[in-house]
This record gives sequence, structure tokens and C-alpha cells, in this order.
Amino acid sequence: MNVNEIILVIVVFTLLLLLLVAGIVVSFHIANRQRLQKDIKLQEASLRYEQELRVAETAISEAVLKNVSHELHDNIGHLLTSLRLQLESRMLDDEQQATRLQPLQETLVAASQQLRLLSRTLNPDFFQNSDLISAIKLDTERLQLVSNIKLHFKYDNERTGLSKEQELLAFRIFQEGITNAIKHANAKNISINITQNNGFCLSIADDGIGFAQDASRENGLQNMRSRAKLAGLQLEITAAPGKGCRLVLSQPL
Amino acid sequence: MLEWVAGYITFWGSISEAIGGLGAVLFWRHLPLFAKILAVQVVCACLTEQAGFLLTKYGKPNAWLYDIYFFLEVIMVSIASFFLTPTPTRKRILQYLIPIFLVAWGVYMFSPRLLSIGTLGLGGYSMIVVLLLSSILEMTVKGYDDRPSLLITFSLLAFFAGVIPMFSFLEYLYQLDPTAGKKLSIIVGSLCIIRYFSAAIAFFLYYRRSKTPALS
Repeated sequence: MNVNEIILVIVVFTLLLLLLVAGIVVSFHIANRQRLQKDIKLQEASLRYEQELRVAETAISEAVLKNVSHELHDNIGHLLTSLRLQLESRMLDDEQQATRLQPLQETLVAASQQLRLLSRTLNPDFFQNSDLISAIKLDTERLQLVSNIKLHFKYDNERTGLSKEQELLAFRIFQEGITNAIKHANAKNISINITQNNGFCLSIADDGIGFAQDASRENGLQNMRSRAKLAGLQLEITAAPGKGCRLVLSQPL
Repeated sequence: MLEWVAGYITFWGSISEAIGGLGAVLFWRHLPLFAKILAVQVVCACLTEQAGFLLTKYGKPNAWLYDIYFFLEVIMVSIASFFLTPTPTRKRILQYLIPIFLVAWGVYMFSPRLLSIGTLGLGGYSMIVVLLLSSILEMTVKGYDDRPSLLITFSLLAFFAGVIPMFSFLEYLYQLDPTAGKKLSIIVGSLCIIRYFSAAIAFFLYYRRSKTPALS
């Protein structure tokens, strides 16, 4: 073998080895792609599972609320009605006591009215014949009667453009937000706005004590987030100690 | 013709080496430890090349300089491969292999008849190829997806695997023709182009990544 032939052999071997390296690169790439596809599938399955879990959770909580609503309406409502009838009959029998019992009768009437309204807003079937705007109106009127908080509700359109399921979930988020503002924030004013400029947008702002952004991991707020996710809506919560809280539920663009 | 091609490839090999060295210096601050070790090695390669050229110009022998560089290259690339995928097993392998290589290199330096550069190169570069292959295997298993690091690793593997056939025939070739080195520079030069251009691109990619804001 002369020098040139040896060099040729070296070149051939070198090229073979380079081909081998190229093979390793390709195998590495294929392995990575397969892993990526597997990861995507796993992620999709986990998302599906999470979604199904949330649907089931919501269905259970709506069923519980429906039961509570029926119980309030049928049992407690019935008891209050019979109490009112007994009181009215007592008032008719004894005219002297009638004046004394008058405030009691008025309170009883108000309690029955409150109970009826509460029972209606808790019942998911209410949404079959109504909509989000009416439900919020009804709930703000009810809350206005039982608390000293001023609720300001504004909307620019009667229709929200959301499906019945989305409206129900949005209403539950609204209820949770309002309850939080009343129970924990010591708010004096709550503004509720529904706009349709760039798709549906519900905002609830209060002038209460607010909270640190870390607290947004708490249960009630987590529930709101998971409900928003289930409805396919976007929920933003902005709060700071002493600066109130602002909750914006909107349709992603 | 062959000599002209060899000269042309050697020229581009040197250019790529210089670009790699420039990239190493310019983007030094943005490189991870693994790439920093390789950046030092690239700069060493540039300096050795220049010093070797000057020594030849003034009629001084330069083989000793390349022997020292060869030693540094093997050690630095081996250590870099450890920092790419640091595992206790790889650390233990290096703990044994580096002293063995050091002894072999010492034998070659003080008694070249006992151990030739061909055998030493074959041993040193095979060691690097094994280390790089094990790193790639581990990266495949762990789903490692760092593009600049992968680019450097694969280009190093291409270089060191590519020079193994040359080192296997080196002694035999020199016995037949002492000037065969010039012809062989076609292979080394081509592999250098792949290696140092890839290194320069990878250094730039590290820099660009450090400037790109992370997605939240």
C-alpha cells in the first residue's frame, strides 16, 4: 500500500465515523421528539382529567345548592308562612295586640321575602328561565336589604353573550366575590360592572381592607379560579392591604 | 493539487479556530462552566497555533508546544464532559483515566520510543469519545435539551471520532513518508472547521439566550 492509498483508507474510515456520529445525532433527535410527544400526551390527559374532575365538583356543588334551595323554600319557607298566618289570625282575634304585633309581622314578611330570593338565586334551575344580569340584580337587591353595604350595579347590555352554563358559573363567582367582600373585607361600597366592549367582562371592586397577593391562594379564591377555568373565562384578582380588592372576570380574546 | 486543497482547508481551519477563539472571549461572561472550560481550550488552541507559526518562522522546533497543547486539550475536554453531565460514576472514571493519561503523556515526553504520539493520541481521543458518548447517552435518557451544549458535544464527538482513524495509521504513515502530515491536514483541517465553527455558533447561542427574556 502506498501513502495515498493509506490516506484514502483513513478518509473512508473518518467518513464512516462521521456518518456514525450523524446517526447518533439523528437518534438523539428522534428520541427527544418521541419524549416530547409523550409529554404532550400526558399533559393533555392530565388536563382532561382535571377538567372532568372540575365538572364533577361543580355538578355536585350545584346539586347541593339545589337541595339547600328546595329545603329553604319548602320547609323553612313553609314554616315562616304558617307562622305569619298564625300571627295574622292572632292579630285579627285581638285588636289590642294587633298594633304591638305589627312590627313582628313586618319582619316576618321581610324574612319570607329574603328567604324566597335566596332560595331562588341558589337554585341552578333559576338560570333556565333567567339570565346573569337578572340574577345579579336580584342578588344585589337582596344583599342591599340585609347589609349596610352599598352595591352599585351597572351594565351596558342585557345580554352577556355567554352560554347558560357559563352564566351560572359566572354568577357563582360573583356570589363568592361579594360574600368575600362582605364577610372578610369590611367593605362599605361594592361596584359591579358588566361591559361588552371587548367581549364579556364582569368586574367587582370593593373599598375594603384588601389582602396581600399571597392570600390569593386561599380556598375561596381557588374555587373562583377553578370555576372561571371551567367556564373558559379569565379571572384576574388584584388586591393590596388597605387598598380594597378588584376582581375581573372576562372572556379571553 | 492535493497539497493545494490541504493548504486551503488548513487556512479555513485556522480561520474557524480564530472565530471560535473570538467567540470564546466575547461571550465568556454568558457561558456555563462546561462551555467556559471549552472556551479556554479554544483560546489555547489559537495561541498554540500562533506560537507554533512564529516558532517555525524563526526556524525553531515547535513539536514540544503541540505536545503540551495535546495534553491540555485531552484534559480540558475530559473535564468539560464531566461538567456537562456530572455524575459520581463519571467523576470516578475521570479520577482513574486522567492520572493514567498523565503517566502515558509523561512517558511519551521523556521517552518517545516507548510510546508514540499515534498511540497516545489514539488512547487520549478514544477516552474523550467514550466520555462524550456516555454524556450523550445520559442526555438522551434524561431528555436534556440545551441546544448550544448539544451542538458543542456533537461537534466534539465528530472531531475526536474523526481523528481516531488518522492516529491509528499515523506511525505507519510516517514510516512510509515523513511528509505525510501535510496531506493529513485535509482531514484535521476539515474536522477543525466543523469543531470550531460549531463552538463559535454555540457560544453565540449561549449569549443570545442570556439576552432573551425568559417566558413566565
